[in-house]
Amino acid sequence: MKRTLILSAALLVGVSACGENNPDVGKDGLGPAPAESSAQPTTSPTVLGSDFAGADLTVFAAASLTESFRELGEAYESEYFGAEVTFSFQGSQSLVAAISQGAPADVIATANRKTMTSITDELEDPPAEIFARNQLAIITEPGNPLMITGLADLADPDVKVVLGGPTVPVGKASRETLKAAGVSVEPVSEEQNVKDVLSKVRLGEADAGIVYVTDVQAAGEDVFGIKIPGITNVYPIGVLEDTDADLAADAFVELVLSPEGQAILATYGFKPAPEMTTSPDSATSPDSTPAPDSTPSPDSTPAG
Amino acid sequence: MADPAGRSLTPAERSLTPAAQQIPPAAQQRAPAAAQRTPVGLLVPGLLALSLLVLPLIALFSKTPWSDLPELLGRQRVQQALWLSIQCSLSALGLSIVLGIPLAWLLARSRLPGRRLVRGLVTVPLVLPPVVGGVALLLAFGRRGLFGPALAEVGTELSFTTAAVILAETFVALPFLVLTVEGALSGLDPRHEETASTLGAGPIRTFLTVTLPMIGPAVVAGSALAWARALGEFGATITFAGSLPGTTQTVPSAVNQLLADDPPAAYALSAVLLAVSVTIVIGLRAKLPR
Repeated sequence: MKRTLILSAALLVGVSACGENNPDVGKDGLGPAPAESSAQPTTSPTVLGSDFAGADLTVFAAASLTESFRELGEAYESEYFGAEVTFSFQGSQSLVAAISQGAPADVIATANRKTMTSITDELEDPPAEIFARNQLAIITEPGNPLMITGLADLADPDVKVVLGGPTVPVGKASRETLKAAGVSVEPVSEEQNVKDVLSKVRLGEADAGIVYVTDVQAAGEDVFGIKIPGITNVYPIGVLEDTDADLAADAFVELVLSPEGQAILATYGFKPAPEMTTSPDSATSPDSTPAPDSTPSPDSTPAG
Repeated sequence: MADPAGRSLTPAERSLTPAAQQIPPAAQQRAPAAAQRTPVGLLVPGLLALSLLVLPLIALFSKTPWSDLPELLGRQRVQQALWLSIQCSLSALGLSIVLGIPLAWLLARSRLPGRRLVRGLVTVPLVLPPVVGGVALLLAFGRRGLFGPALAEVGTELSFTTAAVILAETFVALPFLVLTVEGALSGLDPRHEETASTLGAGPIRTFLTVTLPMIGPAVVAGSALAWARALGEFGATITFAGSLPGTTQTVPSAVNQLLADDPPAAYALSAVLLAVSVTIVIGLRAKLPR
């Protein structure tokens, strides 16, 4: 048994020493095409080799960013001819856990500060910059058959409520909101990302759930949404230290922070980050003070 | 042809070997060397295959926080998951046995039409991707499913219940039992049962006292496989029943969540399931010496 263990350990070491494959294999030094968009130019100077502003990227983004980031990816691809952006949309807590385990990503965008903070050491230039904010909403089946008007109605034991898990950004925010409103809810299921909460309600399995307003908008007629005023989530975005495509990753982040990117996010229902009133080039996010994750707005009483 | 000592047999000795009598003499001259040497061409892929199977298990074994195991396994979430998994998988097993043996009998012995089709259908959950199975269960028994309204009439709603977990686990485990038992039943010599009935035993008595004991090993083997499958079921469970600690969060669901929230607890639970799986395999081999 001992000999087997030693042999196995040697095998393991040997295998891990083979090193990792980096997905950002360089293309043949194609520079960015002339900017086709009418927005302010955001391209960085062309650099030949594998790292240039139009390189392929792997972006890990919170599930709630699915639709908006897909469009941002297309904007990046049309600005840099030949570039390809690959996304992984999951619960932020899963994404950062994967990154801690060595998953290859160039850019990470999460749905709250807490998840981003857990990988501060993996970021190239911490702290990550806030690029958007979001608001919570109750969702029900179309037509709201159970006539839910606010958070208090979710406490009804006959109402099947689905929430995100406690470490999922939307789940954490949901619980904080419910606590602040003094409402006690026993969810029937805890999902690992906001889209799974949405789908349980959309499929008609659950009566209600708490997601973001952006998800309500994305789901269109499939759900009925009730905005919850008050607590919002802030979304940070950062470039990862391990990336080989520094310039490209920076270019993508710049795109997200640019007026063009912010406009795209706004069309999906996101609110701008507080710092976004000034030009994107001048700001480094004032993140040095441990600001709370959620900023309660003056009228924090739930609707209804 | 060589004898066990490796010495080549003389032509006279070769002619004495029973098997050799079937082989034309020319072939006998060529066969010996190939039978003893392991082809390198097969060795390399074989070892690679072995590494692929074994290295992850070794890695899991080595990464398990053994010293913290008692504390980790004592955590509430972990205990809830373990207890729920045991309850549900055993219930699924029970259901599989009670429903599966009759179905196996029907497939093996009855003259009902469409048996081949039914046998094919029974095999489907074996190859169906688990999450697809979950979607199918949802579409059948979910609130908006085919039988959802009917179930609601009877006052039952399966969504998010422990019963849904058991149903999902039975869905994936039942085929193992049915196919194993059906195979054994088909291979049985019917004369034993015929003898019993000529001696006056009714069909039920014959089944219980003659047939069942004879297919005993197959039932045990099928049960072990079914139980292991039920224990490990994840995709169908999480899609159909959801995931709530204490009600529907089985060990695989818990591992999925804990991997992000509390990796050491996830590794501990994984090690437990690995140990269970290894025990089942060892137990199976001990029961069925082949």
